[in-house]
Amino acid sequence: MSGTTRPRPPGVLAGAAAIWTKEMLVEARARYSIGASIVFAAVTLAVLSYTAGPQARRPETAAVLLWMVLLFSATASLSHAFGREVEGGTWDLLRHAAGPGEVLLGKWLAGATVLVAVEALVLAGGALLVAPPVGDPAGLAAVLGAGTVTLAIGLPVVAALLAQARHHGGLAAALAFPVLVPGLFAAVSGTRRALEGAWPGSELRVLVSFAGVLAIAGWRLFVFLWED
Amino acid sequence: MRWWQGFLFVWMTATLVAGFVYAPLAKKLYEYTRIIYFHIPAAWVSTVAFAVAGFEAARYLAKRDPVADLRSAGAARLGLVFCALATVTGMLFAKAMWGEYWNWDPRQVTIFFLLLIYGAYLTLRAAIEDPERRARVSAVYALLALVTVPFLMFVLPRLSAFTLHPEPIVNRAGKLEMHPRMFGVFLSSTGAFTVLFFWMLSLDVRAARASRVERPAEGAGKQEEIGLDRAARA
Repeated sequence: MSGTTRPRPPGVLAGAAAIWTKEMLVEARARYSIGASIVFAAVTLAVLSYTAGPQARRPETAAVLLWMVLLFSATASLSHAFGREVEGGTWDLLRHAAGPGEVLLGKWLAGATVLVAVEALVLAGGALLVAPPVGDPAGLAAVLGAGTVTLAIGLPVVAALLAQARHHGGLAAALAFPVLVPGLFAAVSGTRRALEGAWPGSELRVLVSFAGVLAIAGWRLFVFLWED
Repeated sequence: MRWWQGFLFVWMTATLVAGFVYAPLAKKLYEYTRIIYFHIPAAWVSTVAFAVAGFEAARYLAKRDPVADLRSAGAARLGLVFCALATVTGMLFAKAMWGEYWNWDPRQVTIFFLLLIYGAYLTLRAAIEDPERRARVSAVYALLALVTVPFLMFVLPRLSAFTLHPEPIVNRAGKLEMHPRMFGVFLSSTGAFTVLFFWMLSLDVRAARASRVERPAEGAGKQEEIGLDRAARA
């Protein structure tokens, strides 16, 4: 028996953690995703809340305002999730280093991390500029969590599709919004109810089930985008 | 003309006439009742088209059959047409009944988003030149978009308390609330529309296959041309 041991291939979770670390290191160096998101969020929040004026404090307006800002800023950052690899020519290296499941899970986690950071800033900005009364903070937190997971799952899969198209500049919004719209509707409705003081139970059920279905579909379909 | 094509013509004509002379009017809908036999079947066919586009997309990914890709794209194109018809007829009905063409009723919004999904699918296809990659990537998008359809069509409209739309044919309590004669004409119209869709789809696929086989295979499209040529001969 030889004394040397072959290195064991890392599991999906270990591989995903490695991808997440790589994404965070790249983000820390370039600050592209978070920078684009924050600027986008700040501009959208300022313009929309200024236009809406005192009306922005009403639950139905505040809910739409919040999710518009989050959706646009998330699309601005996460739609490039695979663009760096394609433009930098490191797509093949990534494919040699990890499997599709590890890469997708790592991208989901990295996207969620960026989104949580952006959300914290958006909520702070919203509290400062709009300051809507929050009737049920726990309900609002639950809807924000479920909505963030939905965006973090959906957008990287759309980004993988975009990476395969040549002229994808204006395609991000066109492809992402229709796919994410059921989650967005439920998130807006749930946020409105939480701001009004009611527990958004139905909306949370829709959000969680939609995120689950999207995750399963994305997981199964990503393999076909991984081929090339 | 094949016998069933003549039969479809007679079937659709008879349904149209029955909608005016055989089926009674619904309460509160007056003469606008007639639109049920056109608007709902068009919306139904757009959903069927989406399901077919998804099924053929899955078949393409499993077997890499270029004809499955053509069927998926054809179903999406036709789905867009029927979805637009459902939207326009719904707007006409809304104007007549509620005084506005568009009033952000949840069902209007969901069908609008179906239009966006079909549009995005066709835009994505146009953005990819390589035929094999185009077929694969658009198949993935078609399946991803298919996931949203049950939520858009069945879940979200029921989440909203606000709606001007009449109750669905089978209402929330699971009961059928339609006069039997109306229901008969409605079923007949839905069946005729569905057959018409599949006929149009077969014509679309045959036209696409013929145009590609006639063109000389060149460059990136060679692999697909060969596959289609074989499929056409088979």
